[in-house]
Amino acid sequence: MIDRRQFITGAAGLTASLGAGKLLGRRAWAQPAAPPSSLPFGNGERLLVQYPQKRPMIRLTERPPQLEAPFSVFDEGPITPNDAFFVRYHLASIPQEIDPDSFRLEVGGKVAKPLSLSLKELKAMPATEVVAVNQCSGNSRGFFEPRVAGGQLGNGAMGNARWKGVPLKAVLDRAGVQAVARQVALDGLDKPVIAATPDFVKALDIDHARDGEVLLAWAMNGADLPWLNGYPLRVVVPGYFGTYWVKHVNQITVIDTELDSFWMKTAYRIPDNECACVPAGGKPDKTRPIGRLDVRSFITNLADQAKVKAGAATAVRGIAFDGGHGIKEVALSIDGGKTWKPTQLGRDLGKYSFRAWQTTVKLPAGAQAVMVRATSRSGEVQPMEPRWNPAGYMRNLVETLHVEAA
Amino acid sequence: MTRAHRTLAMLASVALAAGITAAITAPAAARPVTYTLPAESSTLKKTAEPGYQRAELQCVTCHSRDYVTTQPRGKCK
Repeated sequence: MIDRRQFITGAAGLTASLGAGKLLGRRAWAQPAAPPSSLPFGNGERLLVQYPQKRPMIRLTERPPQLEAPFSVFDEGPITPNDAFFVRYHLASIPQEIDPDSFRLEVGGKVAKPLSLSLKELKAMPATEVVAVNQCSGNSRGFFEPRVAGGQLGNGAMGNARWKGVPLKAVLDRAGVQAVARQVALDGLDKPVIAATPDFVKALDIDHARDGEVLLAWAMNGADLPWLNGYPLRVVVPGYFGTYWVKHVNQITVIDTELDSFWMKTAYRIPDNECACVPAGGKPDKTRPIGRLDVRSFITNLADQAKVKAGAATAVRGIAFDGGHGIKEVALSIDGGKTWKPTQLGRDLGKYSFRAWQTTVKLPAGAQAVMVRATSRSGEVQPMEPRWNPAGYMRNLVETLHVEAA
Repeated sequence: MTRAHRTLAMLASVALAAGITAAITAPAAARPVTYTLPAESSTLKKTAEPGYQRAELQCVTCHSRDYVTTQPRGKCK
């Protein structure tokens, strides 16, 4: 049995050489990387586990792997490190061996000329970069009340990275999209275990797919995509929830219909109204596919129940993001939302990115609640009350941190 | 934390401590690239309820047991 130090060394070596060559599965023995971690809702006990290429992460499920970032990661800066980026799969047959030389992206359907592109060919096309947030539709689902079935996530199923790849538009243009095209179906190497389970295939409307912003990305923060984040190629849909960011993407099909797939027609749907919500416990009359991220903000440098010095200037900082307009303001309230004080925004990394913010507050002695509220450039504001929907998507209410000033 | 939860957490910890499989680098050589997932360790509490047998026979075909054990207790709408 090797000890923890040796194990960590091995993991670091792996990260360093992934791009270069072959990885061999080999048995390693490790203690749980850190003490069990709990999420603050009922049945929220979790283990911190370390996967290859990842730091210790909060494990939601093992097969397929679903990992969320310990929340402290988000205080490291507006870019989420690759080894802390959340992992979400739907189907348990995930690729465990990929040959980057023989990997091909197949482009077909309603096109003039079907394509079969190697990574080398894709990388030879003009590349673009975007800093964009990827957030799971069900991020924070564990906080829904009444509770809803599904992945019981805390707030760590989100991340912000600099993605590099080729615009999906460029690939579609090369194939020559036919005039009848309505949607582009995106499929990856992950497959169901049994034939009865619908394959995970997602679709974007043709105009969205050709907007020039949707990418087929091979790099994240200057490195190859981590395996569990979609190596060697994934879809990046800036401003949209992660469900469309198909991992290990190897099949693109232009269709002249709306994709009739479980993952579009049944799952990942929200109430078809302005708030994407229904009264708690209710059912929507009509639904639509989930789309853009709603505006959110978090305090990252103080944990709930933190102790701070009463009457002293306490630094408070965090992140905010929305679905692609950019953040106009992040404000704090220490009086239950009656008054708000704006914070200083950090460097603008682009309208799809996390936006850092910071300020200082002086808290009187006693139990205090600090609230944070973001407003987007389009005027979207976080709500003071949670919005409920049956699938537990799009949670974005104003977060409240309880601290003890003494 | 209920006793059942404690038992689950403890069992999971023991299973983890007993070993996980992880990929480790080999010297740079030929391709392809592989990724080895840790061995599965989550468990269901053994009970006389019919659901236990059913879960062990059916649910685990497609996913690990923590898909079941992490759900809210009797509270879902």
